[in-house]
Amino acid sequence: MRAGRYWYAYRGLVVKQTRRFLRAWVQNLLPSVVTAALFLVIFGHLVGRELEGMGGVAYADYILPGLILLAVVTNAYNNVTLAFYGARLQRHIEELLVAPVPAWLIVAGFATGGVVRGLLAGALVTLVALPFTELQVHYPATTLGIAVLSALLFALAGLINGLFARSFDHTSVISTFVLTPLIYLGGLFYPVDRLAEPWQSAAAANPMVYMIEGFRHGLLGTGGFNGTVTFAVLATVAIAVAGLAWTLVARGVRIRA
Amino acid sequence: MNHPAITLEGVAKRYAGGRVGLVGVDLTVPDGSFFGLLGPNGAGKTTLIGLLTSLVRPDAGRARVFGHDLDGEAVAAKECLGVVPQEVNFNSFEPVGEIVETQAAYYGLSPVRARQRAGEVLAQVGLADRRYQTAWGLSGGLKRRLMIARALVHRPRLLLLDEPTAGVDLEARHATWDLMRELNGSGVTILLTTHYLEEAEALCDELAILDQGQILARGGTAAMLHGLSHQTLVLELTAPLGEVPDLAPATVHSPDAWTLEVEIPERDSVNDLFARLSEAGLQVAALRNKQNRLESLFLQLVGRGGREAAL
Repeated sequence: MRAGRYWYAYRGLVVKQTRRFLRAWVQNLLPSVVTAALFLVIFGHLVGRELEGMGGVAYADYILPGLILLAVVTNAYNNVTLAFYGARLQRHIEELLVAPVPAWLIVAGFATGGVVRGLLAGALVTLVALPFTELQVHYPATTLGIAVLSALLFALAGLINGLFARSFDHTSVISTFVLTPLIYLGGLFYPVDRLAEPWQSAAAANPMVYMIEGFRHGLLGTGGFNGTVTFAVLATVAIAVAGLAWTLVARGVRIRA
Repeated sequence: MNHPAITLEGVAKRYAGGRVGLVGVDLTVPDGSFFGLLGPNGAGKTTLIGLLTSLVRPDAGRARVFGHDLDGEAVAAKECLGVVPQEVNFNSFEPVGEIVETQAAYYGLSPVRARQRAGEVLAQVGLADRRYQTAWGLSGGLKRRLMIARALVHRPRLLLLDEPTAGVDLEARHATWDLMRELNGSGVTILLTTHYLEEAEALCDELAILDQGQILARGGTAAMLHGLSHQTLVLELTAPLGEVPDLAPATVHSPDAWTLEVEIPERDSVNDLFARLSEAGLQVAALRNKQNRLESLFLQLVGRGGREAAL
């Protein structure tokens, strides 16, 4: 009985989050698509013609998985950060807090909203890339699995950011100064094994390297990917971040007086 | 067994920075009552409502809603509650209908049922024609009505109204009063905080006066008003006064030749006053209370010296 009520509450929260980003789709979805298209045209098509292929594929194909994943994780992260911060700022988080909705369901609902936006942005980038690349999905389950887990992990991290943000500036700091550099330096444009030391060792500490390599493997069939380790690490970190987000929301940190 | 709608036992809250919210409050609100919570700004009314809705974490004490402990059985307690907060707390960019439907979903209503109930409660508060309009465009009064609709969508047994008619025009206020009376008549317990003392006097059958986080007085509205130490009547005379009459034990003041302000003590009656007015040869054309009676009681308790006397 209660499971059914929770399902409707979860569904209501996800629908609300989805409508929120779709209402301003030009602002929320198009920037990622435009950025990816520019990268593909300039680096993939114009400059890429002068470059040798990487990992056995054309350069445009090589950078595409990173561009898709960039869209997935930044959209998932930004969506939840802004949604949660906005809900705190406008106080409509209280709609949830006064209702019989447990903390885990609040976390799940916001995170799902982020995952939906992340995957939608990734799908749009993929569509835009089709004319520029010769895309063939080699391992659909791996591709989808990494995309979903990455979106979930960053959506949950975004929730924690939204919980602690004190101003709109704080909602973009992590995304701009941490997330995006980690992705750009995580093998989006080049194989990290071509880096000289100590940069190669430093890159090994960048979690985005494994996500991009895994996603690239799923899409293009490139080598150098340990699926079990990547999935295990991604799932473990996602569970840990979910646990932290749940604890913070359940304790009412920054949302209850 | 019939549980009271609200039971507070020794509930205390002090905010960061030392500001006092509540100081060991004990309060019982009977099931089915229309209960008014009065107090000056910062008295602790909103803290008390926040505590019942889990928006405020108490430092000490227990709070129960229909017997469900807010600490251990929060979900069961919240299922009984509907809340109309003091300040607008919905997403103004969403359409009116969506705001209500989403709240219904949070209370476990299916999408079909949520749509149906949203239609019903929006019609109940006179917002049916605004259902597809963005909430941003609503006036302040209509926003308050939207929050009332949202609070009613899951048919709560207990409605918490934190100054629901603040900033609302007279016509809308009376419409809200009618709605509140209708809800209370149908068995919904109402806890109302308000600054409009005539509103509390007109609606509530029980009252508590809160100040500095403590309950100064509590009881039936009629019984509390009966305990007024004095009241001031304004008498409009049929003819101008020659000199100010002696109406002891009432004290008399005449702001102009046609008007008398008479402060009558608790032990005196209006009948006795009129007898003395007749003896003085004065004819009264009209009579009114200078202050709302509840306002007098409120000022007596919260105002000069009353706070210390009540403690």
